[in-house]
Amino acid sequence: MTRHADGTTSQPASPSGWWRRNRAWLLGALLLGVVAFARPYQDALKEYQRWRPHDPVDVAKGEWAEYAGARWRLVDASLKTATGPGSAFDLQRLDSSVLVLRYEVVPDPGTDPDKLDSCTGRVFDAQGREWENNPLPLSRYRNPQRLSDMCGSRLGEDFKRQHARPGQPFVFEHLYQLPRSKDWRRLQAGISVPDKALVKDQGSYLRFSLQ
Amino acid sequence: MSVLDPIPLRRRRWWGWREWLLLLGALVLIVLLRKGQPDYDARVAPLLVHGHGLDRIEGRNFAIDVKGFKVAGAYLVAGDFSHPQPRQLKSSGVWLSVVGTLEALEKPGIISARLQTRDGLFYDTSGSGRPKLDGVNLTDRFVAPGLPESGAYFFELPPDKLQGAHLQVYWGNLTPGLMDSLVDIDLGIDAARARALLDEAEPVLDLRK
Repeated sequence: MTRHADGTTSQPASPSGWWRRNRAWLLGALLLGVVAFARPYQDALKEYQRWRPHDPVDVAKGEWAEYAGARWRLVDASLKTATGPGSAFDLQRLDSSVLVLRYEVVPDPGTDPDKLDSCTGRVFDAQGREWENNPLPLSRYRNPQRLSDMCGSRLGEDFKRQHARPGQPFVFEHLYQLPRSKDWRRLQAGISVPDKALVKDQGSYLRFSLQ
Repeated sequence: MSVLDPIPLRRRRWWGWREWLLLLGALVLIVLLRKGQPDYDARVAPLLVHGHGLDRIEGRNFAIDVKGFKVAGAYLVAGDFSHPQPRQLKSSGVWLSVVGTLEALEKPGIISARLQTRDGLFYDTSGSGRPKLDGVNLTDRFVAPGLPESGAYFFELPPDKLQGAHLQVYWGNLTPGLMDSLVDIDLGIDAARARALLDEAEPVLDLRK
């Protein structure tokens, strides 16, 4: 509204004038709106990606890779077909076999090995089907060398926890129950650590090829 | 507009009956839209996938193939280490076993089931230890892709609730996931079928095999 010198008022000449005069406020409101939507979305996405990493770092078998404040290597992959009752694995299903992946991790100086314990493993095929490490049917299996599926510590002979030490290799094992008909060499194995402090680039994970 | 311009004789008042009408219309629209808006529970409710009879039904990440169902008065199961003699599992209602095959399609995990009767009540499975049959009882069974699991879910329910019972199957071992699929299978038990099931039911079904 415009106030005239004689005290009367009148509507502005055209509505486009109002948009022009308030363009700074409008632009500011638009920017605030975009930020108000984008920031919580980004935070939620990061939190989601901690548990569902999607950004692979490819590692060939036997090669070292830097991830989560440590160096990682897939030492050995082997398939065990003797899995029935009476075997070390004691599986009910005779049409399944067990894939054993042995990894080595060398924590960097300053990395807390307890935080590496939160690591999870999975193997997946070309169709995106997944198997998780040390599933329920394999819970009764005990490794003869007392290797654990945790990446930063294991229970020693005297039931005392042995931690991975910075600069020294620490061996752990991930076990997978797979259908016997599955060609395991074409699978890929993943390792991820859902720790905000260790993994700067949330959503990334190590992807090892098994052949 | 400068001061020297002639002032128009008839100016519209800036707030008139037209504006009151617009305001009222906007208020009515707001109330109507808010009333028609689904509430939070409805927005995140499980997504129903309907099935009928003995068939294979797919939900997100899992599939169930229902092969059949049977009613029994009680089960006879083998004893365990502390009670070697066979035991009878009695129920204050009847036992309903639903035989089928479970498949995980993408990820490994646990698939749960419950019965919904026609009056809206839910009956959970009787648990993985009742009857304790390794390799048969599907409750809390771990299922992985490529490794389908066959067996049966066991329910205890009053005999008059058999008619119109639906089997509901979902991913996980808690409650149906929000915005996740809930497979709802009408077992097709009408009044005559319910009577036949109860007539055919063995008083004590021997599960020692």
